[in-house]
Amino acid sequence: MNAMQRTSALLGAVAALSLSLAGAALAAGWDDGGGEAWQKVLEAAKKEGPVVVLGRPDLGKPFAEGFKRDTGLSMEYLGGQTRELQSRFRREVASGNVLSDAILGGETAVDMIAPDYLMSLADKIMLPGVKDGKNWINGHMQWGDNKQTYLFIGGEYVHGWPVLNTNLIKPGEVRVWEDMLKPQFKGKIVAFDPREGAGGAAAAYIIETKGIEFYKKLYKDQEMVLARDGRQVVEWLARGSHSIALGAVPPDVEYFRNAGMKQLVVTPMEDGPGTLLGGSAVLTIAKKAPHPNAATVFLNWYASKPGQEAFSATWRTPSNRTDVVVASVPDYVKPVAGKKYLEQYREDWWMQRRTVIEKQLEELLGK
Amino acid sequence: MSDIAEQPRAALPAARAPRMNSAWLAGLLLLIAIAILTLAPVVYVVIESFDVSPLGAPFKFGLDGWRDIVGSQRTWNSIIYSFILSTRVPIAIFVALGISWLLIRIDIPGKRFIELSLLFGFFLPGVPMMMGWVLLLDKNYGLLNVLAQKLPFITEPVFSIYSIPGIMWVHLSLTTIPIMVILLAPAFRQLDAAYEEAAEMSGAGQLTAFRRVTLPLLAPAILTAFIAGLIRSLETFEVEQLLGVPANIYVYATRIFEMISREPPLFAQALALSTLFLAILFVLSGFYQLYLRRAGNRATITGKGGRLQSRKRAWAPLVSALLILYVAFSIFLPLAVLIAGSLNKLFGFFFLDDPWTVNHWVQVLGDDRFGRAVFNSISLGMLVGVIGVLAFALLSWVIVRSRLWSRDLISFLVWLPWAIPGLVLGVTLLSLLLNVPGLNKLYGTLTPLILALLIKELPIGVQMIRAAIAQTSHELEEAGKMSGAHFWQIFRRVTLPLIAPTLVSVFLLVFASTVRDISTVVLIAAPGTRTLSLLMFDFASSGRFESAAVVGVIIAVIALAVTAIAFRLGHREGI
Repeated sequence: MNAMQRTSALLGAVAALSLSLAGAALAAGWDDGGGEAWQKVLEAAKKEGPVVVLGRPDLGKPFAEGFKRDTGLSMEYLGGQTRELQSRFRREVASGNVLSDAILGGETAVDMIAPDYLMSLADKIMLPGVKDGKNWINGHMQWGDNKQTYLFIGGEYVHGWPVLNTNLIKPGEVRVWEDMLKPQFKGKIVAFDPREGAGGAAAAYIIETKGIEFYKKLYKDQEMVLARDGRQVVEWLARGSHSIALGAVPPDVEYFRNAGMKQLVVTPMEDGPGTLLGGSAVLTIAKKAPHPNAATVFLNWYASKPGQEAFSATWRTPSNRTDVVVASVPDYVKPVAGKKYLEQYREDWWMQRRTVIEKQLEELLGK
Repeated sequence: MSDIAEQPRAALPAARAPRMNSAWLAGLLLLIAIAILTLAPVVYVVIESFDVSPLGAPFKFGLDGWRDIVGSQRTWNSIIYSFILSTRVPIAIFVALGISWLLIRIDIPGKRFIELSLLFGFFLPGVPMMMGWVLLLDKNYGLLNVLAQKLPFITEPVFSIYSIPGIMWVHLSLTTIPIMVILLAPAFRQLDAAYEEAAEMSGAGQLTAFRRVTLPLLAPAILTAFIAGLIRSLETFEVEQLLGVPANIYVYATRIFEMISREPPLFAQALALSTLFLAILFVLSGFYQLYLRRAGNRATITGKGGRLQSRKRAWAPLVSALLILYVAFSIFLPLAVLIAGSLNKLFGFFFLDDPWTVNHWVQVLGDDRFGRAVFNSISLGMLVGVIGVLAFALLSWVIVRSRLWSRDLISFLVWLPWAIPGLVLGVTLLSLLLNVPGLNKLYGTLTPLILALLIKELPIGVQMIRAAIAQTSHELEEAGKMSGAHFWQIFRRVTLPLIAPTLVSVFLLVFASTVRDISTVVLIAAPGTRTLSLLMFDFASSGRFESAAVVGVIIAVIALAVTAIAFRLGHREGI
């Protein structure tokens, strides 16, 4: 190692240390103003043991570390695919034999409200920094249920745009949805299966804005190929076997772009604003959570600035908190003020429109 | 126990009635224990297939689930595709018979390496190895296609992995042929040389002796392997999920997966489809029992003969070279791609400007979950392997040798776990664990995982050992009895050593299946009980194939170590 390399290494280490100290200093005041009630909950949580949280695997480490750093409490995090975790959580709450406190998933939890399986979260928000409307987009916390109580949405991102391989498609060749029906794209479009989470959301957006007949043309006439794995969709695009991908999620796209695949470009269409999705940012807590105080602390931490920063940086999607700005979140997923997006993570849309679209897709793709 | 075993009930004198009662009670208790383990999940599946109530609500009878699956063209297509893809089983049996015969009857150079490689191949984690095949055989960018198209007379891609032949090849190379060799080689090894020698002394050629003597003697083992292979081929879904969907190929198991994955899940439909599978299993099980009754005694190990000796042949080096080429192509080539992929910045992107990195290794080895997952995998594999081999051997002995009144029922019950695909078994066990008082105390511990994996491996373990015990002559155990040994002594010192090759195979099979399993345990493994396979699954689910490949390579190393130890022990004990 020469002198220059040594100096660079030293500077790097100093920078890393400064950043982590700055992070710790910022996090230090995260629960200011919680008062005596908050301290009581914290004390009770310490006696309960680790809070058990289910969610996307990649969130496990940053959440467990951040939660421990900021609260002194431990977390047992169980990562997995949302469908398996939802299945486990549903069966636990339905049986009353609950091992998991909380789950970070999608809007699907909405049907657990009616049978009274979920904890009311709105009245468990204790920290002024979380309650304060000025810290949130639209002046208030976002919820996925009509009562604004059970499904807390930490962040929402713009979804539904095609990703193009710009080595294969010239700029301006795809500007509006109808462009995708051009003959040169026949057999060149890959989509995340519309029967799966993010794939379904992308398909639902196209159907809501362009109609089912347009989607049929896209699927049948253009011989769209389906894949069951989000990464597979982006990989085919990166390898050039397909030139357009639908339903890809930001973490997969950014993973490839960061590895040098800059030719993958998410391209907003000119004839529509896109759709807002909560992804895995929806927090629900079991009514019979085995560690209710620890779960309450987790709720407040997750909705606070450090909790949202951890989520946003890992999933590369924006937070609904206005004071959370993460540099690694790409611009194309950030909602633009004043635009009217299709909000899929809302109880009314989910329970009414989504059911209709699912049936239409079932008829198209086979039951 | 020895009285239970060796005294025909009809011959017992009246004075020994109390002993008969204790035998009756033993038969009842064993039947109840096996029924709880095997029948409870099946009954749950059948009942729940008629439950149309929302989750958590009281049972409400309805035929919606059944109506949906019967009326769905996709379901029928998936069943047809399942059976088309299951034709790989007879192909694999044919190939495995040839390989086993060559390994055991012919003195071919490198035979231990070839056998070890096939065992090792079965251990390897399925999904990362499949990714290796994708990189080799993808129609657009597969390395073998790229190389083939460099030839002057080839202009189109030769291979397409997203097709029926592609899916079949991945299964055949990674699991079906290796497992068939694992199942059939011990049966070959246990053949008494006297039979073949007698055939040859009567003037039969080697082929005739193989066809008229060896094959009929091996028939129970072949039938067991066929049924096991058929059932397993119908329930696999990971490969079909990734390779089948782009080509619109759905199979029975991917349909069940799709139904369970729906939001909200379609449990009634998934369980109704599983019940159809139960019907198929009943038919297969009936044929098997009928065959065993008709075939009668097929003892191939007696007190008189010796084991088969391998023979020298001039063509042995050529065959050896072909077999080594086969294992190199089918196992080591995708493994090499897997290892290289774990060192790629992006899995399988070999042609980037700077494609290599050790970051994924550093991240995985430094992950808090890693150490615990290694410990869980090895301890779970050993526990399930050892408990399984002992329990399965005892059960097999009861079925083959004992005269317990319940043995036919037990023999039938041990088939049942085959009727439930791993994922459905996981959902079922989770429901039973959560809802049955007492059992819920086990939720969150390793015990449900051990039980689930034992239940899953019960059919194959018992059928393999049962076929091996049936191959040993009764006279050997009787000789032990005549020498004054009691049941446990005879079982430990006569029966178990005689079937040792099969026991080693069963242990390896159970260990490998346990370490590889994802679908059965994914729903019941609590945070502290996650295995390496589940860690790999977590990485793959997050789109981090590189880290999943690292875990895959580590599983391969563990597999290699365990296989080598088992081989060495087996060699030392002369098996």
